[in-house]
Amino acid sequence: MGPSTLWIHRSARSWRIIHSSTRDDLDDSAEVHAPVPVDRTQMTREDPSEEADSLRFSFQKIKDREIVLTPALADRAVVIRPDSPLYVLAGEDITLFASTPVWIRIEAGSPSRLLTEIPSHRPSDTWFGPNAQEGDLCYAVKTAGRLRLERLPFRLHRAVTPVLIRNHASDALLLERIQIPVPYLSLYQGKDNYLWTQSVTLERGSDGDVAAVRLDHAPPAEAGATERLSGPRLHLRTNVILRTFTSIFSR
Amino acid sequence: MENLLTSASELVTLERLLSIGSALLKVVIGIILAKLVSRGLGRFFTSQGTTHQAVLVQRIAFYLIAGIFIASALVSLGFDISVLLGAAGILTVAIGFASQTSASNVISGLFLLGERPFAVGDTVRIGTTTGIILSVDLLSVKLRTFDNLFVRVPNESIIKSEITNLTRFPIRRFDILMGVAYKEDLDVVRSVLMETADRNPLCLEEPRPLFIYQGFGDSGLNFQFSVWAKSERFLEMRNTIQIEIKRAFDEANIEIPFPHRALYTSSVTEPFPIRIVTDGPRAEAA
Repeated sequence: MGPSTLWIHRSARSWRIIHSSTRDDLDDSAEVHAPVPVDRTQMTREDPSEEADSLRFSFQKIKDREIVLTPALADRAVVIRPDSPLYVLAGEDITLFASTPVWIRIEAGSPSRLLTEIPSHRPSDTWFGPNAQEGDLCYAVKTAGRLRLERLPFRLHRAVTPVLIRNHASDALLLERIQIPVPYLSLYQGKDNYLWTQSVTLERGSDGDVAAVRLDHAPPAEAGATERLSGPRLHLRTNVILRTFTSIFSR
Repeated sequence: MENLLTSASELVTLERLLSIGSALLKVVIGIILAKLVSRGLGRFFTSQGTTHQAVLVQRIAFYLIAGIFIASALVSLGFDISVLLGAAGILTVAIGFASQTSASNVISGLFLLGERPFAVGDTVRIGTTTGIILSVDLLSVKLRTFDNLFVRVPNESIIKSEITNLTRFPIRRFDILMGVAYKEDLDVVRSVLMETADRNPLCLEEPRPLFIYQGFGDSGLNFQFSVWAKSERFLEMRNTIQIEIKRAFDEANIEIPFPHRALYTSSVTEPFPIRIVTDGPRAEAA
């Protein structure tokens, strides 16, 4: 799935999950082989050149042999950049489309229990804040936010988020980095099996400083017919002012 | 002879005898009481588990109680106790001078509590000692170093000297000072370094890694490459990034030079003749 490859092996009392990644974010493969012939797993595990992580989960009570893989969104906020720094003029709105890598949730048993979550691509850490003393640790995504949906490279292991930016102030807003509060978003499956999240609206108020962050309740129209896959990790309380916007304006 | 007897008899009047008797009685009772109380207190504190404090308390209690009774006995005998008080005053001044450092430690401790340059759990560097703060007490601060040693630092020295709190801010920068050979293209070196930092997930994208050119060194071009990481993952990042830089330099054939020295016989004579031997010691043996 994308740059990650997972081997899942079940024995009588444990599940073993082996994960390796090519670290290339643009890798777009998506294949499932089940069941894999035994000799192939042996060979892969002994291959020393593969940097693979192995996890083992043991149990007594799980009787069924099914394992469930679901996509989930990132566990931290994600910082995106537009493909080049752009100004949003006073009173104008723009929409940027951003894509973030998904995490793979592996669950087994009924009621299903979470074994582990593995990122399909582990993004780089980054710091988002007004200075080196305050801020949050986020993920930085390499693919730029695009103004036009057609320009965004669609990948099966990434979720697309439309970000609507409204500038109500009297001067132009320079957009260099935008923090998307991904843990507050839900994941939807749209047409062609691509993954979407709901829209995020960032409004810069007329006083020029603090603005509001709003999340839609429904998936965007561009996604087509959708099915909701998972809810948000964190719930946004209405009065919480996220750091999203104070760092849009400051360098 | 008679005068002596008269003065002796004047001294030994009944009242006098009574008062001396009562004074002696007071002293004896005082000492017995002091012993009992001090022993009782000592037993109480030992049961609490602190023998050091028990002995201390025992001694203090004994001398205090005995002292009070002796003083009252002396008063009843007619001695003027203000002399003793004067002596006690001088004693206090002497104790004050002696406990100068302890008092300064206590006051420094109070200031530290108010100023709060560090909290329990922070990693600090005081002088040459680096460790994690275990507790901030009245007289001193207790650290645990990374090789699991217990260090006690008096508060006074903390107030007087510079301390570095390594975990106060959430992210930290790591400066790598290195050099490459003169033949290398600095743009290529810079892009290799930036790519290596990019590939390492622990290196933060923002603040951006810095490439600062330092100067033309003796053996190569010196520069500084600085990367940022979250304080908790700092050590891990420090190790991985340096290994990765070495690997990237090897792959790109960028040379990190050894110290260079040029040898001349003199400016007038020819250079040293050198004979290159392609075979090893086997040729010599043959």
